[in-house]
Amino acid sequence: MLKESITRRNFIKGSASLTALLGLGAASSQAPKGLVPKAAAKTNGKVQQFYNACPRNCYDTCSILTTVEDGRITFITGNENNTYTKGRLCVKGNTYPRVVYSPDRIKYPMRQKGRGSGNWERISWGEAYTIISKKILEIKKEYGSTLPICLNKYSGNFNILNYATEGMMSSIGYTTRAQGTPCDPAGSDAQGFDMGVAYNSDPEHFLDADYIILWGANPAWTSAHSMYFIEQAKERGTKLVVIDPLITQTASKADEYIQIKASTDGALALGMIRYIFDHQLFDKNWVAENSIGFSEFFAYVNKNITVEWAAEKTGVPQAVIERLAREYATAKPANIWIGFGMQRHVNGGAMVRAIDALAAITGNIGKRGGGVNYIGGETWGFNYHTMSFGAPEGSGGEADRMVNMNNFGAQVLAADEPPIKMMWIACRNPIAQDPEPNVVKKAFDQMDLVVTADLYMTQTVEYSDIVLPVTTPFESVGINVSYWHYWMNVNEQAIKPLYEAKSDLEIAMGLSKKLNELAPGSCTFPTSGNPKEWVEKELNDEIKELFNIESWEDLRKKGGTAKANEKITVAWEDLKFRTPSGKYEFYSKKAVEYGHHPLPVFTEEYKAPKEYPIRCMSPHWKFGIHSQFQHQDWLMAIQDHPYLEINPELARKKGIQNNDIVKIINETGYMTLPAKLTKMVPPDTVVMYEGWWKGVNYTENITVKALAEDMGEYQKGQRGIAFHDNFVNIEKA
Amino acid sequence: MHDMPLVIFTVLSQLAIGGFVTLWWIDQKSTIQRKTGLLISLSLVVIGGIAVLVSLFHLGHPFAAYRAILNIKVSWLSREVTFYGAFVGLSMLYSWFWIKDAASWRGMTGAVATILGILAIFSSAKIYMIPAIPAWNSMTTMFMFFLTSILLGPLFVGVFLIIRGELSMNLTAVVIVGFIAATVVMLVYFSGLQGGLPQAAESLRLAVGQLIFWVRLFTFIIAFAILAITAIGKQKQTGTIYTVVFVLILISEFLARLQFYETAVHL
Amino acid sequence: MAKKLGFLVNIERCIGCHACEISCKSFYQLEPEMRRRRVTELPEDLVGTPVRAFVSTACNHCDEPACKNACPVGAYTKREDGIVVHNQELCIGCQMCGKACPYKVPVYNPVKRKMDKCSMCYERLDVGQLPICVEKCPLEAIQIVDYNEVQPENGVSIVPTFADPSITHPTTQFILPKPGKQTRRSS
Repeated sequence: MLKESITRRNFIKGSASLTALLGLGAASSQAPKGLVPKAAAKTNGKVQQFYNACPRNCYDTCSILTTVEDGRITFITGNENNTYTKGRLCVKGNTYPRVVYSPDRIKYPMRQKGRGSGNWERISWGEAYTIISKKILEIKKEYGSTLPICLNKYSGNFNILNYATEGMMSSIGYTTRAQGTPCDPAGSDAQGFDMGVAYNSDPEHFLDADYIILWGANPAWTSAHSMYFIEQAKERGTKLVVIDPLITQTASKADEYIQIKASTDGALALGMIRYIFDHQLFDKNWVAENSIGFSEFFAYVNKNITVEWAAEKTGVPQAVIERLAREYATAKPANIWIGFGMQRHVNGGAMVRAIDALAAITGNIGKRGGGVNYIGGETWGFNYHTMSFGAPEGSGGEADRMVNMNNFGAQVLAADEPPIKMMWIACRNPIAQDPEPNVVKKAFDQMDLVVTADLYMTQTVEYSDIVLPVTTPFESVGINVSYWHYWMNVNEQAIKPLYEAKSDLEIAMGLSKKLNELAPGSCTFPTSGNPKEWVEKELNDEIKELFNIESWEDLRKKGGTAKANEKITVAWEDLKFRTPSGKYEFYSKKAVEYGHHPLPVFTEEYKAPKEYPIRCMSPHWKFGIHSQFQHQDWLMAIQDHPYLEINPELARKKGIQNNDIVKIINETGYMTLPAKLTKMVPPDTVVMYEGWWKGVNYTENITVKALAEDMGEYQKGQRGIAFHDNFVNIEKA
Repeated sequence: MHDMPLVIFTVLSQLAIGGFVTLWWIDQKSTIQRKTGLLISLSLVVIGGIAVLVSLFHLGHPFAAYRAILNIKVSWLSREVTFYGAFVGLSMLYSWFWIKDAASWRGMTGAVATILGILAIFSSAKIYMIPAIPAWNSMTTMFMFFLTSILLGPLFVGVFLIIRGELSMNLTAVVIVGFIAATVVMLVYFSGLQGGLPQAAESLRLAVGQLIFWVRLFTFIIAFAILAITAIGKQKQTGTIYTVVFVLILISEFLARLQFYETAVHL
Repeated sequence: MAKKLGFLVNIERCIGCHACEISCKSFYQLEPEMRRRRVTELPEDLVGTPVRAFVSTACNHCDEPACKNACPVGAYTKREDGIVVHNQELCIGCQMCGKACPYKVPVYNPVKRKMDKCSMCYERLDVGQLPICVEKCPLEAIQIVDYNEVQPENGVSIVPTFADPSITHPTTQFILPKPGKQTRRSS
């Protein structure tokens, strides 16, 4: 193992580095007189190791190796059998022992007398199930259906078995669902129109790229394992370009950083395309063989776009756009990674379509090391057995009713015939994460019962009636795949559930049991079952073949992790696009169907209102995934409060100094937090990182309006939310 | 407030050593009644003992404090503990010789204890003269520690002797010299901080920003003034004046030491 | 010749993620407030163009360790290979080492009421494993080097925020980042 590490490390040049590291274990290095204790005396108890999977809605979705001594977790690290995880975790993953043994965990079911009062009393699981079941049955009786019951669940735990919560809801009848995603919808629609679906290449293939553009992506904070491959590529001579309105941690590592006016990325891509057309740098054969609508697009660009215009629009000098276009068009293969943040604008989908077009005209799509990489779902072909039981006989209504997750508060309030009276929240923290949190609270106020299943006392739990304690990944069974890399990871139960915690699957079975006790036949969800049997039912022949495994048990025995067959790891290698035409569609009739222009055209950005001229962006924070992890005391010991990044020039205008308390305000709300003066943000923008809820009475979304993105309905059912088109004013508080 | 045990220890131990040396010196040069000498000697043993006990509160493991002498070869803290421990032991023996009224034995043990006491203060100061904390890393630390001893010790003994009508030496002169020296050292110290590394300047900024800095200066000046005016005016040095000056200077030195620790800025 | 092991920290590779620090905390099951390894933000004008830069430091296993001379119980030893080891068995929790270290490396363990510091994972090294921070850095930005054998061509002994190395002669060296090209919007 040591040797391997030596060969991997190459930043000391020259052969001397080997001698430097060899012979580390020499006995002569022991200190004299036995003053130094010998190798740490570990416990004499039983030491076991388990494979786990990080399920926290992350690109990297790591395979984990957990060490358990005498039934207690003593160390959690990456699984070396996974060539993407590489035996290492990100900073958040390294806090997992604390996540499990945190003093802040919710230990048993509790009922709150008065939402938000903090007046909690412990109840038994039996009592909790009874209260909830009676409410469900009461609603069903009163309204003739279960549609007044609303589920809001999303990405806090992407273990496939956690779809049991959705299954449980389907098993009681037709309900109301928070639909859509705040994550990727506009970009996914864009790639859907262009190529049929969003499909990215294996991030380990960054090593094969000649040129990499990270377009509004910050993997140094959000995908540390990808950043490793990018840095390795850089060391081999690959040029790394970062295009971003902010000097992110990733931008700080770039060979070239280009600061762009936020939400004008489409203009930059189109300007580059115009240059590439003008200089005949595009791949004529590729577009002729693999696309439709190219001539229309060509005509559109030549008629409407100039590089000068793009320079004006984006704030990027013409010479830089031209050089960038030439470099990108001539590098083979050239790789683009579009970050989710880039499309969180009112024109996000259109911008992604323009960037896709840039990759298409240069023939980079379908090439190993190339591509226009955004997100993918090729490895998600599970059975979703937990959702397969159907509504019980005599359920009122005809189908589930959808409300947009991205405008949850307002749509819940607006729902009528029947109104929404009960909410079940799992794997989510909507009061912290949704736009217009005050509207979300109003929606909560209208409920007869709010049930939240969570690990910690989040802002959402604080505003619920009943909280159900859930397990961490280490206390339950599961299986995980990623929307980015091509691995499947086993999740074993490493320790017994702490306190009275239960997994979402167990909760579903428990609730079904109680419902059927009170009203036989009222819930179709199984009332018992072994989690390992449940997880085996998720695998079908196709997915087993794809990962070359026989079963979950087999995957566990093979080292806890397996990579999908190479044939799918290069996106669109067969050039068989999943569009109606089977080709890459510069001209998309599907787009027209959804009310968009057929071509990847320029769409104007959202303009700042006069009284709120400053853009407030809320990118992901390095110590959190949405509202998870940041609140752990291990991380609070490093950074214990949120702050607002302000350019010194803007700060000077506003009379703000470092650490001054700043008020940020717009028509939606206001909050106050300390200033951090930094040139990492441009003077017209401030930045407040996402996901802080511990120790503050606000979230970064206090000023965020439920402003829709341009796309999302095609692939995700609902449009996304333009989180970064949040305009505010700031003043010294 | 984390270093409070050290504040109390250093001030009390320096007081005890200064008092002891004064007592021993006067005992050598003139006569002190056995009862008076025993009283002073025992009170110094008590103060010295309290200093030891208080210092233990600074340790994570007070009952393992005995191990602190193990690294005497290189550690000034080990040396301080060793010298000061020996000093307290000898000062007890010295008190025993007051009980026995054995003057020559007192002279000998007192001489050895004096040397140990001086070494203890020297070691104590050396502990803090470390580059890691620029505000401490100067000879002014050494001077300040000895001056605490010179200001407090003679006054403490003086109070007893005046009350018992046995003051035969001009302790006021010694203390006034101490005051003048302390004033000079203080000025050198502040200007040294101001002109020193950024961390030293920061220490000064922090100190001046606290109210206790000004209380410390005020008590120092008032104490100095009272002693000087009464000395120049040829007024009789009364027990009251000595007591007032002693209490004021004890407060002043205590606050100064508190700031010494609390405003220490690490590199 | 005896070895002189020290950390080589590649700031060019470091993304300031703190995984080194937290993996160390996890492996040694340290109390939440204890930090054996620390990641510190560097001035953003470090390389000329503004960037986010961080440096990760732990014990510098100095040639002339101030902790060793300050400790009254002799709990510190410098091994022949250069690693400065703190023997917690002997420690009485006086905290002088923490004061004397120019890098504030030894920290107090409030539960054990003793001092604690990085040992370069010598127990792991002695059985042929790498220190946890070295092994777990997602960017492979930390390495240990025998400086008696190797002088990294671009290694430097000081970075901003790092105390004057002439005091205790720390063995840690750093590789500074190279500035990239930047096109920033003019305001």
